[in-house]
Amino acid sequence: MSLSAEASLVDVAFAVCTALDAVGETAVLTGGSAATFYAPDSYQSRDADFILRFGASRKIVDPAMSALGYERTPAGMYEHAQIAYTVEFPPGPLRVGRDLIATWRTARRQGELLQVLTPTDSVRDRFIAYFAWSDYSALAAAVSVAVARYDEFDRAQFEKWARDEVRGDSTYDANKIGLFFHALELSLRTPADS
Amino acid sequence: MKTSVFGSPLRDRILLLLSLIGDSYPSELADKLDAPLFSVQRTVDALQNSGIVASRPIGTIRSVQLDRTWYAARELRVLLTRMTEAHPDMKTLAASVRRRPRRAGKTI
Repeated sequence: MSLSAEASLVDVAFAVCTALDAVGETAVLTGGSAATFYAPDSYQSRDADFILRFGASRKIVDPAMSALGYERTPAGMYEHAQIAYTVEFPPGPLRVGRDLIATWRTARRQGELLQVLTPTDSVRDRFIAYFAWSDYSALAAAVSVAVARYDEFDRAQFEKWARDEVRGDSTYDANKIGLFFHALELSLRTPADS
Repeated sequence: MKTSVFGSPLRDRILLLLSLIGDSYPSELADKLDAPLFSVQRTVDALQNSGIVASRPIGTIRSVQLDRTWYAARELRVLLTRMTEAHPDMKTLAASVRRRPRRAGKTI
């Protein structure tokens, strides 16, 4: 399998996930790249972040990545000579805040597969970056995914989880939950009102 | 004999100090812990790679803190708080870290 220089981030994500699956490794797309998968018109990440199972070996991963043209750098990320998008494997486990993630979505296209956070988990994943670090681009990504996949976004689960995070860490600003829903309502109204 | 909980005495001391002062940067950690800067940077890298610590650039400084989004951050804080009770010297060290503003040009 090869990737063209014009490959999109989603193309890269499908190729990497499929290549790793072929050698028996489960890799789940997370972070901003999962948000790009769900809301490509609203949010564009520059790297694909995959969480591997605990104990995944570089002896397995590196050759699979190399076959796609991605080589590991000293900093630990994977770069391609012709493609701007990098690939990284942040430390696991797959989680959003305190919640460990055991289920995800498997997307398929033309013989390829992509394992990716569910839309609600992708919203939670981006939101916690805003929650913890006040990263407004992460808030925008969270809202973008919630809007793009509104029918699949579980508001009740999101809010319960966010309140639980505040209960676990009193330094979190609970007002940010309200700001998220306010931004979401505004984004949902905008197309009809404009 | 030097013992450690997190793999090395320097790891323990960095985590304990971060739990007490909230955030820091490698040169400050090296200064306060009387450790070589290179060793501190390497240890912070390892802690970051394991997901326990997060860092981000602020100007030319690399701000380092415990990663509150880590799935066991709450339990880690409880453990570190308990450990500081056994290491009162770390509290003294933390108390020596100035965080309040200082007027520009004022002599130290």
